[in-house]
Amino acid sequence: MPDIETGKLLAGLIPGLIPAAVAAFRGRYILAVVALVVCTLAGLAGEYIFSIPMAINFLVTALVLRGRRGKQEEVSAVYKRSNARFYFLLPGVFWILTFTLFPLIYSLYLSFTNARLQNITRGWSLIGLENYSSIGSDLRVSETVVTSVFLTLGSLALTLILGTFIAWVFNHDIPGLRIFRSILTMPLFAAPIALGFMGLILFNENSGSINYMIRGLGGQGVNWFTDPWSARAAVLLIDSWQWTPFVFIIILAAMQSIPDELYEAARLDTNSGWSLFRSITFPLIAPALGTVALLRLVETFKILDIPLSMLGGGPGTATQTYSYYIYQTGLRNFDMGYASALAYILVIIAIIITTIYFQRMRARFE
Amino acid sequence: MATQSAIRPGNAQTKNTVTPGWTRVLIWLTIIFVTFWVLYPFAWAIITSFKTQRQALEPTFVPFLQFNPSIENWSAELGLAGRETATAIGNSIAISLGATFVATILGTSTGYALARFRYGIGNVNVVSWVLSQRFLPPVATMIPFFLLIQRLQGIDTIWGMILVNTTFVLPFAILIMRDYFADFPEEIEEAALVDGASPVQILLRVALPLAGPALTAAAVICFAFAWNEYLFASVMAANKAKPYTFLVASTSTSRGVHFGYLATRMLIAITLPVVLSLFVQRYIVRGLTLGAVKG
Repeated sequence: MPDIETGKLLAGLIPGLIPAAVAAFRGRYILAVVALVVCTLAGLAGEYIFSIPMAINFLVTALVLRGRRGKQEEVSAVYKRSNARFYFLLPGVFWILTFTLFPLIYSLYLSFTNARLQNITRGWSLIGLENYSSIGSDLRVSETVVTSVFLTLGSLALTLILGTFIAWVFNHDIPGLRIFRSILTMPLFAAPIALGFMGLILFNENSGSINYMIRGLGGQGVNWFTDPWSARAAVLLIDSWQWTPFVFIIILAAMQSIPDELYEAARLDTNSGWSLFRSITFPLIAPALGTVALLRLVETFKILDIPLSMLGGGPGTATQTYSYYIYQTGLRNFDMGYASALAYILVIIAIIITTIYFQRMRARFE
Repeated sequence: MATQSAIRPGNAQTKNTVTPGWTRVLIWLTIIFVTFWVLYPFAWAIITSFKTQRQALEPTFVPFLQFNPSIENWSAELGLAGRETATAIGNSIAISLGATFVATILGTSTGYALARFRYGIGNVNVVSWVLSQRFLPPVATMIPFFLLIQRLQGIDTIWGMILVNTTFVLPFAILIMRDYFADFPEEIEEAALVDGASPVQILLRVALPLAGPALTAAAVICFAFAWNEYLFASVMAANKAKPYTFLVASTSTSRGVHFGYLATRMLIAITLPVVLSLFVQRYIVRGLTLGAVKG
């Protein structure tokens, strides 16, 4: 049992009182008590730096749960009178808030400090925008951004084109479609870290079967692991191999929802597969393609596991992505302030993409 | 819901009669090629896993004819020497099951709430917030997570990893369940309301018993993603609570690059989630797109 210090206790209690008061004022007494207890514990664990973000969480939660007399469209009178709806929502929302809002606020704070391993015991101090200004002069940043952009755009192009093509092929009344579809979705569930090793075995310059096949076809083996751009291409191919099925199943679903009558009508004019695809299939799968592209954009920008396990970021630093660089800076070299600043740029990009995504998705989730 | 299958049978007659013979040949060639292309890396890994270290340096394909298959990698990994493996697999299962358990409970409750009730702040905003969790790059939240778990003395513990993984898989559970309950006919619930059931009773006794397939899908997807998680494990669970993905990642460093052995471990790491995914095919599209696309 650690000693309870008054300072830490106050550090938890004071921020905790604000959301507790708001919650109590709104008649959510359980939430008020929970807020106070959790903030106090957070204060005891880590003083203000934990209790303040936690208090903000609770404040947001208390505000989310406003509108006791908000719009009432529930199925029945019992639901209207019931307070239960708030307790259905509360645990999940609170969990998400605690573990996304808290880290975001905390890493924003860290990005303005000189937190690193050497001064972790002495405590760190605020250094303003210094971390952000040094990003501009960091050569590693531009190098890793090039790799990330190459992988992101390459993977987007490859998976979308291949995935759409395969979906189009499979959209012809195929016996046993379910079996093929199951086989094709297998890569999606494989651990990326393991797939990196799969790449290591496949692309190995001497014993790998890819080079063996290239040589068998009369070519020369590619230096997958020593040539920077070949190495990036190898990572790209493994990533695309894993994610093409994702595009495939979504686009296939979109294609199957196109009514056959449309094709029948169009066949009166033309019988060419390509013009049918261009004038009917493509316009009708375009929204799904957009959604998939956005989802893949967010996902590929985070890519880190495959280059990490396949080549350890090598040769040299050729396959280090931007995320990889953040990971290495923050959690291998423990330069946490700088890593947080790097990460925050990624967060802003993610927020922009997310906003675009929700503009498209609003109606779907209302 | 129940009648709407993931793959619509399509209109067989019209398509068959119009497609000329040579097109069908091309289509089947493509299908065979694509299937081969997907399965080939798995096949190569399986072949490699039966090679000794020396054999693995040769690009040979056919066992017995080109090389003499050996089970030494598999016995090293799963046999008597495999205690580290057993512990890591045990950890992985404990972490994934724990995260799945918490996430499906929270996801059911939150998903039901978002499908049934209207909140002042706007349901779509709550959904956005839930989804944005998946969009956030994990590296951005890693340092605060690390410090938080460290202060809570949860580094290298199973519960610490459960906590982290729950956070990452929760959006899947919430959105799959929300989708399911949104399609669930309200009339059935209204009938129960007339009988005087409370909202909690309706969820537990009426809506949930029919939610088996959706719940299974949510659980499998949560399990798979928690099982596949590596980054946080590499930072927060390097020792006692080490999951299997982390053990796989440390293979090359602990034994030199031994391809056969690596292939064995890689196959063990991917088998469970891949096999589980075969049981939830109907929900894969909406699950993986977090409900954005109905499949």
